[in-house]
Amino acid sequence: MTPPSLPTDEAALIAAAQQGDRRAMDRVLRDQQPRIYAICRRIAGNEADALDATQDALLAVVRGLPGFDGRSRFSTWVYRVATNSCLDELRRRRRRPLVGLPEAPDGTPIEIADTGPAVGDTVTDRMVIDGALAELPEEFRAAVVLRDICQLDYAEIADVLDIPPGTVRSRIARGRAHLAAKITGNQTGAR
Amino acid sequence: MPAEPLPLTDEDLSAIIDGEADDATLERFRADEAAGQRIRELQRASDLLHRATVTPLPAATVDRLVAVALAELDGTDAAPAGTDDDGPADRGRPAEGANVVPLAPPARSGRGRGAPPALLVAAVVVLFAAVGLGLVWSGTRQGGSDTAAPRTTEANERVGEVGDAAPSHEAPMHAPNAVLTTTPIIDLGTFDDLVDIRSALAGEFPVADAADAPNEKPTRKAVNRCAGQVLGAMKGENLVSPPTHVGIAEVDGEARMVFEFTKVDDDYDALVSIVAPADCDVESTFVK
Repeated sequence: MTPPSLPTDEAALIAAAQQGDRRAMDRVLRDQQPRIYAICRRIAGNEADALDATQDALLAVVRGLPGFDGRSRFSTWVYRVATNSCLDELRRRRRRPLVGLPEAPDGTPIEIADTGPAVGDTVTDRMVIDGALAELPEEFRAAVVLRDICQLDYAEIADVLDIPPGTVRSRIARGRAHLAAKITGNQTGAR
Repeated sequence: MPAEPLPLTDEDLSAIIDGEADDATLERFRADEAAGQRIRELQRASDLLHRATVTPLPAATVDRLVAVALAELDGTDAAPAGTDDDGPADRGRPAEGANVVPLAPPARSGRGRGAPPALLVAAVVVLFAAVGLGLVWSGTRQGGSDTAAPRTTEANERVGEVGDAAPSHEAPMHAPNAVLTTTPIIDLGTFDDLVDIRSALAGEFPVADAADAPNEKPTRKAVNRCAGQVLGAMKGENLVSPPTHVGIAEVDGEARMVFEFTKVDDDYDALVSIVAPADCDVESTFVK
């Protein structure tokens, strides 16, 4: 017997997953995984930590979904879960030794799964971005990633990070100024 | 004379890029010729980040991530009501023990977290019994110089039951950091890569049974040496010696030793190190 087809509407799918429908939950996780991983990859700065954070975020989605009450958009809720999982991963990373990360002979972390350039992207761009982001304080990094990668507006970022919109504005500006300085090599351009 | 308008800040310019600036700021921008260069720099940074897309994960990795998360679903059903409310969403704290979902078959995971595995307890009991027997035996013999050697030999023979331990007096000579492990060495199987084995060991460490006995065991001396070197490398982590679990695995065609240590404090539950046996180099470490 063919199992009943899953709802195509996101709200219905989420409702089914909240009711414990395993297939619906599977679909929700697979739908959300790319955006979760994208956030984690940029915030965490390396593949291994991004994978750990993505796993944590998916688990947090499973555990938290029954409590999702729809007051915020589902995507915003997922961004919040993912961002906090990544920031927690960074905190854990600070506490643990770094010797376990596989490294190239020159000491730089080896990318495990980034096997080739994506469309509209270059390896150089990504190296520049990874390097610049790595030097950015976490709170600025998260704000910039949510804005420039996830394309959230300031109010949504404020909701995700649980900070005032004015702080979002400031963090994005400072983060972007830092990135601009790293990219252009101009350390004196800040206004 | 009207006051000179303040120059636009990065915050103003960034808000303009994002379409979040108010009309007054936009008006000032139009009048500020010097701001053009700066906004282009900020715009370029924004564009570069936007364009630097993330390569999607391989399907197999996604399958594994989702499978681990779904495995939690059963546990979630059994969790007390209300634990899900707001927790992960509001603070997104990775749910407690998020990366410690049991991956081992249920039959193997009947013990509680942090409880020593039965075989570990048995090994420790055997060791103490050996030492105790040695003491009793030595007490029945005359002459102190005669008692030391048999006691050491006896203890090493006992250790040798789970491997070919080096005599304890040799270890410091050849491996100053070596520790004395009596933990059974478990065959963890074959893995494609370090990510694969990390995922598999995120849950409870497999428990030994007859089927897990590796065909080609590393020498106990090698295990002790590598365990000691890992402990040395992790100095400052306050790990408990010896490791609570020891395993061997084949990762990407190469043999690896795996050690799981508990921690003196409670920053995390356990630290797992994957080590190249030839030189005891730590290749991957993660906590859970």
